[in-house]
Amino acid sequence: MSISDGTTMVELDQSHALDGNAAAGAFSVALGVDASMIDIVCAECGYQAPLAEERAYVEGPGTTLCCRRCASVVGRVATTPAGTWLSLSGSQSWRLPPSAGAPG
Amino acid sequence: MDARRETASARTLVFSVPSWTGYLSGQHVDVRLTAESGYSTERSFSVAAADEARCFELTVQRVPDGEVSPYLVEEMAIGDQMEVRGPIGGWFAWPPETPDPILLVGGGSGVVPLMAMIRERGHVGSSAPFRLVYSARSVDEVLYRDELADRSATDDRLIVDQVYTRSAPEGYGRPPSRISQMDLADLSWAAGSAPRCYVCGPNGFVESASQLLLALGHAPARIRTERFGPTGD
Repeated sequence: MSISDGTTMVELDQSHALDGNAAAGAFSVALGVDASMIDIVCAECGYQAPLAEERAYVEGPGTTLCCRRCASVVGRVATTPAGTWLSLSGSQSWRLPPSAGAPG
Repeated sequence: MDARRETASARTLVFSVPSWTGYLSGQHVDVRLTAESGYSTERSFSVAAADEARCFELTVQRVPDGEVSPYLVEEMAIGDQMEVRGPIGGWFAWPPETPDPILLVGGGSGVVPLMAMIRERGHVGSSAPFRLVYSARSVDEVLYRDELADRSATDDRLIVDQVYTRSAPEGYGRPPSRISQMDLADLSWAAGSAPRCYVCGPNGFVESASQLLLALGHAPARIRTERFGPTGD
């Protein structure tokens, strides 16, 4: 839909979602551990899943991670010249397993 | 470092890397390409093979209108460099110490990380039973055809079943069609043997294959998936 200033709002198209595994690299860099095995609890619906199994949108500026069950955003990461931005808002918790170790 | 053509639209590139640690078969790398204008873009590609000595292979399928794959398949020359992050992730990966039976289900170039697991199994001398159900449009698009035939011919614990979706070779028992419950029921083990399942391919393929596995009674926790996007077959 069009807004008065000429910008266009588009919905995230679920058919473009990848498995969260495709976002593991970006989050691993930001967190310093292998992110693929991190267990994320969605703040919206309480669903718990490993990052690798969430939905990832990697084509935007930055990477967005959404809950596999309710599609709410559970994490975002973007690298800019000013640094790497990490937002975990939308999630209740991120549990790093003991084996997460160094980034893969 | 080296490159070889696999099909009309796919090629394997061999890279040497200064440091390459913690590799598990099935993992991917993130590749970043930066244009002279400064525009840069990043994509993930599954590793097809790797050894401990500082080199790994990617098999890349050209995606029409893609930003990265046409360069890797058609243009990149030996000696060219690119920025790589990885290997990434312990999730979609085969732990070589597990004796569990493994069911691999690949669609199109989704076979690449599964081939990495088959190669790693051979490399470490594992006798875990492996079965690959590989869906491709036609014979011309089958990746690693000779290698898969050789490996399965000399190893009775490695079974390769080919499914064609558009055209099958003459005399092939199964008419071309998308992968069905019968393919997985007929060609793979029964769910009772509780194999770990790895499913990789385009989104639609992974969605339907994993639904078929669930319908056959495979436990959700035993199925790991990797969707690489909406395109492909």
